[in-house]
Amino acid sequence: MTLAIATDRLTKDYGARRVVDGLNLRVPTGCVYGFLGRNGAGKSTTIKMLLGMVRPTFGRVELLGHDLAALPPSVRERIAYLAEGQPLYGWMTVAEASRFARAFHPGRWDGRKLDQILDHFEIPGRAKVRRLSNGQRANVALALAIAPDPDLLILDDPTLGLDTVARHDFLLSLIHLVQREGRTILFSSHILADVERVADRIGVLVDGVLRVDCPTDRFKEAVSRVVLEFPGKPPAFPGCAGLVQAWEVGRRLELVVVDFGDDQRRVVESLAPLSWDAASMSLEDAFVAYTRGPRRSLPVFDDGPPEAPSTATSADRGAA
Amino acid sequence: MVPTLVRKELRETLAFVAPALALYLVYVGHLTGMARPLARALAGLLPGLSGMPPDLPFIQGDFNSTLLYIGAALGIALGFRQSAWEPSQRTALYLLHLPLPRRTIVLTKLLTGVGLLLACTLTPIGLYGLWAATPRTHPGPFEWSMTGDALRVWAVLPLVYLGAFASGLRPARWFGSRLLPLAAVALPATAAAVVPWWWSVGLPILALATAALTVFILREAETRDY
Amino acid sequence: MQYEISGASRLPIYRQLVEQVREGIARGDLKPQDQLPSVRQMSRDLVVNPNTVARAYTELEREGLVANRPGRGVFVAEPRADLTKDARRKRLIETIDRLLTEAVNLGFSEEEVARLVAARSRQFHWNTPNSAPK
Repeated sequence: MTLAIATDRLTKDYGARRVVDGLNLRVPTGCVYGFLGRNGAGKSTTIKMLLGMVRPTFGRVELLGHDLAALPPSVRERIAYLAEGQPLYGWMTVAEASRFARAFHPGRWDGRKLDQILDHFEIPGRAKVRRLSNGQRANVALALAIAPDPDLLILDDPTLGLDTVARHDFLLSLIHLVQREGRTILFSSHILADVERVADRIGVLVDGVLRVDCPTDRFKEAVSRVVLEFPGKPPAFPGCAGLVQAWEVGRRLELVVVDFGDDQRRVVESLAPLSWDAASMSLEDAFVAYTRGPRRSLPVFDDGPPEAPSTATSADRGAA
Repeated sequence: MVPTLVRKELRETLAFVAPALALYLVYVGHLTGMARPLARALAGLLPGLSGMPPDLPFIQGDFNSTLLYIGAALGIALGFRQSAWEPSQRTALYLLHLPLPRRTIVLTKLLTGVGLLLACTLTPIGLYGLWAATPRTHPGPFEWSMTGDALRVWAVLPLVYLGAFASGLRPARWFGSRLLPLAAVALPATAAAVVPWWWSVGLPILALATAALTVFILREAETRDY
Repeated sequence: MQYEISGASRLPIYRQLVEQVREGIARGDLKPQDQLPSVRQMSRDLVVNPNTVARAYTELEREGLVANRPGRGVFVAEPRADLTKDARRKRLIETIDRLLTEAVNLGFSEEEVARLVAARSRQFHWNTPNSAPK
C-alpha cells in the first residue's frame, strides 16, 4: 500500500498553545479521506501544513512520496488544493481565471472537461468571479483544480456555506472525480452525512490529536449508546474498556462505548439494571458523543480488531 | 508562467498607478504651461499646482519634492497592495500553490512593482526634461545634468516600496511594530538621497539596503504562515 | 426500483443498500435475472462513494442474492438451492425469534402480532406454496 499523504509527528504551536499535536496522518493512494473535527480542533492548520502554507513547529510531511520541503514543481502540479472559501481572483472573469490557471499547467490541461463542468452548471465564461454565488464559485474552483488531472486533491471544507442543492452538486462532482482509479482525496467537513457518503476512511481530530483513523463504516458500527434502566437512583458506573462517556438521566444511566462486546456486557449486567439496551448510532450522533467525551482519555480508533480496543479508560467518566 | 503573473500584478496595481501617473501629468502640464487651466482647476490637490512655474527647470521650484511625495505615496501603496492584500483575501493560498517556486512568485511581484514605480516616476522627469531641452520654451538655460537630484529621488523610491512590501508581508501583533521595516528604510533612503557623494556613498548605501530588504522579504515569504 | 440512503440511519450506507436489495427481491420488485445498476451508475445516482456500492454488491453476492457476471454486470440470482431446507428453516426461526422478542418487549399481544404479520405479508411476492417450508 503506497501512501499519498504521510506526516510524521506533525506539530504546530501558536505561542504557548499547541494547535496540532504529533499528528501521524496516513492516507493511502486511491482513498477518499474525510477529515473531521470541531471548530478549532486544528483541521485547517493541519491542511495548511500539508501544503506548506503554515510552517510546522516540528515534524515533516510527505506528499506523493516526496518530502514537502523539497517538493519539485512537477509534483506540486499533480496536487490540487482548494483552500477554505475557494479563493480565486474576484476581478477576473471565469474565462480569465481559467486562462490564468491554464498558463501554469502546460501539457496537463484538460480544457474540454473544464468546459463540460462550466456548461453543466450553466456558468458563463464572461461572468465575474466576484459575482458568482458560493455554489458556483465552489464548482468553478473545483473545475479549475481538476483540469490539470491531479493525482491528489486536498479540499478544506469545500461545502461550507453552500445550500443543500449546491452541496449535492458539489458532492456529485467529487463522486465523478473518485471514479478515476488511483486518485486520492482528503477533505475536511462539518457535514457528517456528506462525509459518510463520500469518504472511505475518516480521521477525527480532537484538540489537535488524531483520535480516530479508520474506515467510515467501522466508526459508525463501533460507537454504541447503551441505556440502563434502574428502579431508583442508578449506581455509579465502574467504567469499562472503550468507555467514552457515562451520565445519569433520572433513573437511567446512559453510556457511549466504543466496541461494545462481552466484557462490557458483563460490567453492565453486574449492575443488575431492570433492563438495558445497546444500539449503534448515526454518524452524526456518534461524532457528537465521541468528540464531547473526556478529551484526554478518548479511546483511539485504528484498524485493529474490534475485540482489542487500544486504550482502556477504566477510571474516567464524563460529568453527570 | 511568469508573464501571466506579471500581467496579473499589472492589472491589480492599475488602480494605484493610473492616478499617480495622472497627477504627474497634470503637474508637468502646469510646469510647462500646456495644461494650465486644468492645473488651476486642480490646484487644491497638489501644493505645486499654484503660482507661476520657475524659470530654471529642476533647480528652482518644487519639482523634486513633488516627485518624491507622489512617488513615495505610490511606492507605499504598491508595496502594501502586492504584499498584504493577498493573504488578507486568502488568494495567497491559491497563488502560492501554483507550480512555481515561491521565490519566483515573490521575485516576480517585486520586479513588477519596482519596474512600475520606476517607469511611472521617470515619466514626469523625462517629459519635463524634454520640454526644457526644447529651445524657446522658457527663458532659462537647461542642461540634462540639472536633472541629477530628481534622478536621485527616482533611484531611492524603490527602497520605500521594498520597505512597504516588507511591512505588508510581515505578520505582527500590532500595527505599529508591523510598520517597522517601512520606518527603518527612512534612514538609508534619506542618506542615499542627500549625502553629497552619490557614487562613493549614496549608491552603495542604496544597494546595500535594497539587497538586505530583498533578502528579508524572500526569507519572510518562505517562512511565514499564511 | 428506487434506492435511497439516509445519513440519519444507524446502518452504514452499504448495509442500507444491501437491505434495500434484499427487500426488493422479497417484495418481487426485483426478479431473478434482473440487472442491477452498475457500480458507477449507482454511485452517481445516490451520490455515494463507488467503493461503498461495490462493498454492498460483494456482500449481496456472498449471500447468494446476486451474481456478478464479469463484463456484463450484476444480476439478481435464481432463488438459492444451496442450503438444505433444514438450514433455511433454522435461519428463519432465528429471525422470527428476534421479531417475537421485540414484539413482547414492545408490549404487543400474540393476536396483534399475528394480524400484523398477515397484513404485511400480503405486500410480498411469495414463492409457490408447495416450495414453502412445511
